[in-house]
Amino acid sequence: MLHRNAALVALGAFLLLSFAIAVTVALPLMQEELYAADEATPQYSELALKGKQIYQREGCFYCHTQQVRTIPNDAAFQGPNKRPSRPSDYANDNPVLLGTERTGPDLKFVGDRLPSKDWHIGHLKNPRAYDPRSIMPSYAHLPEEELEALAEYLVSLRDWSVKPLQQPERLADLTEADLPEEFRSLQNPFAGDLQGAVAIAEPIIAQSCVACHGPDLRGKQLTEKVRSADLYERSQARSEQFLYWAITVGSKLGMPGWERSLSEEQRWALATYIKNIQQIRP
Amino acid sequence: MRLTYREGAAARAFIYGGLFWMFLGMLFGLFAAVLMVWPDLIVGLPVLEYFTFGRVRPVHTNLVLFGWLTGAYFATLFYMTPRVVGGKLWSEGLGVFTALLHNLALGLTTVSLLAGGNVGREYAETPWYIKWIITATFLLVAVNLFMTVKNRTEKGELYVSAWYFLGALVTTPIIYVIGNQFLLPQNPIWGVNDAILNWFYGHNILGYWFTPVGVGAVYYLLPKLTGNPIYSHKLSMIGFWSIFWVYGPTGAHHLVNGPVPYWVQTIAIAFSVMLIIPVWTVVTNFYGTMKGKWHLVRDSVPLKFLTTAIVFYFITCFQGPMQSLRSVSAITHFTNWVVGHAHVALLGTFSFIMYAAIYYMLPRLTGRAIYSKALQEWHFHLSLWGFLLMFIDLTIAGLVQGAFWAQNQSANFIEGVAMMRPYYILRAISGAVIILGQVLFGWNVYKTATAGKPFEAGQDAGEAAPARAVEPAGA
Repeated sequence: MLHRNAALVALGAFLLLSFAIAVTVALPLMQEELYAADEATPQYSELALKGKQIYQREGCFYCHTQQVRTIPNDAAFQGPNKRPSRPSDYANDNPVLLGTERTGPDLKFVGDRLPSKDWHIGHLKNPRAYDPRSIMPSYAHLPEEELEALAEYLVSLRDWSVKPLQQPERLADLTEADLPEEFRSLQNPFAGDLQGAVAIAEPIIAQSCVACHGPDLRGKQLTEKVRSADLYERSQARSEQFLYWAITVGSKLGMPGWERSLSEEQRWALATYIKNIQQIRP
Repeated sequence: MRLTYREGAAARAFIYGGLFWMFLGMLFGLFAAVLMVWPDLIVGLPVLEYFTFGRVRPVHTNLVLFGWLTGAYFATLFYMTPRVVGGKLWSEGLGVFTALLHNLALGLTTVSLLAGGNVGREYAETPWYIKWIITATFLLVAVNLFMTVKNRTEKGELYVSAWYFLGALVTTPIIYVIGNQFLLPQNPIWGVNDAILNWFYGHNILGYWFTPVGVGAVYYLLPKLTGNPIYSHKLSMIGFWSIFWVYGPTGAHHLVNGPVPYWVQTIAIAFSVMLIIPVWTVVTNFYGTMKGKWHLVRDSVPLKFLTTAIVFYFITCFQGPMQSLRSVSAITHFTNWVVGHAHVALLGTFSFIMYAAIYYMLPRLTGRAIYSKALQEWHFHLSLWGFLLMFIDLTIAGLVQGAFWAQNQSANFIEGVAMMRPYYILRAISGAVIILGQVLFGWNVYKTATAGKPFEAGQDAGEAAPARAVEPAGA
């Protein structure tokens, strides 16, 4: 009888587990393609690797996943190539921080959405200045050089086959003279169709703009150094083309570039809305 | 000089140590829950400001999983194994030494995780040197119990609890070593395989440790508390061999729809669905054993804990296979649903089983009757209702989250975060209720050990049962 012999019971349990190890541990380990990097794989600098250590140490991965699933539910987290993440995206990761909970947003391609290190440092210090609904912990207690490393890591979480956005330092310092040539001659598709622009812009403003620019869109103090723009003031001083460019590329100081998250039409609708903001909401 | 220990010293040491880690672990859980409601609570406070959610959460999970449940499991193994195989524990001294080692490992775990020693793998967060100590405790317990079985006096067929205990003891150290970067300071595995290994371990520590020892304990306690023999020997066998067969390949269901090969996911899903076989078998066998003895539940708190734990076992093990399906996972994965699911298994099921086990073992280990029946009842009801509030709250929260993401394809994510606030508040309240129940439990255990009336066998409802009520029906 099998059950008279303790050694046989133990051996049986061991053999059944061995089957699982062979199929679900050993077989994947032998798949060469699971280790292969490609041109999209992140290349971490020494500073970024230090930042990754801090990310691990502070347990960021308990609330932020780093995997865009192969289902439409995750579409907003896809990178500039509009794809889910794949094994090669993680070839340079050890440990790999896929995460299991999405208390906060996915960060696999956060460097494409928010390429500015200053934005990340300001947000890490005081997340609720950027959005009062955030429940992320404040990391203001970390030394400046650790926040710098963490931000470097976050902006390297992107699709490396696509060039990162080229952002100006600070939009407030720039004038029409600084507007790149290719933007100067662009035509606003909403010329003469203010209502069409408002219809598209309003929900986007509520979702994405008021958090930093304030519910009245008159700007607010985000950190000691950073104050978001008063959109009424900008509307006076800048052309539609300049506003469109600013929305598209953002700035290193902290304005996100929306090229990868909003369509051309949506960005033009926003530019039109801001240009006519006095008239729309006096 | 040779140190000698009285019988039961090792089991007692693990019960008291386990309770300490349970309190500490649950308090960290409550602290983490409160931080989700008031994230700025600790901002600017010296030292405390470092204990953000990300540092507190792994302390909670490690203490309740490895400090409390594993500690209580070691106590259960030390108490039950000699009694089902006949004879005495091979070495009480080695057992007490293991308890010291266990407490050392958990103390180091708490300090190192709070100080930022997290190595970045869920349930395998501790630095490598602590993993060596934890592996040593598992191996020392295994040696102690295999020697106990070797020296047994009952030479007939091994009782079903012993199968589960032996199976768990031989497999768990292997799973632990594979999942903890092979105990090395630097993990040799790169890329997504690291996650595949992580979840092989993360799920199988449940499948080959928390489940079999918990189930084995119920197989021991139910006949003792009811006086009935196990309902079906055949079901016992099907349940045992099928769970050790189908649990192993399920780990990758944590990575469904993710960046791992499709076939890896599919195998995990297929075996996850097959889990229904061992679970329904075991649940049928347990409730069959209760036949004709349901009236005993009214007066026996251990039976109350056991019968509710079996319901929760059924729930969590029905959720599990369903959640592994690609379409269901698409909604529930990454949400609070999963947090609720984890608590049904580890709190509602296995912790409840351990509460019953401790109430049963403690009088027999100390020679003193349980101090207060009323406190026992309060412990049960506060645990049950606190837990139910937490489970229902998190389950609904998860569905709201998952549906919101699906509807918006994850755009406007922050609004989903804001929606969770009332659920996070309720969850923190439910945690406080549960902890209040455990305070009463701890007080009752303390008073039992120090001031309980002398205990005589036969005071329990099922004490009429023979010493081995445990006779296998088909032997």
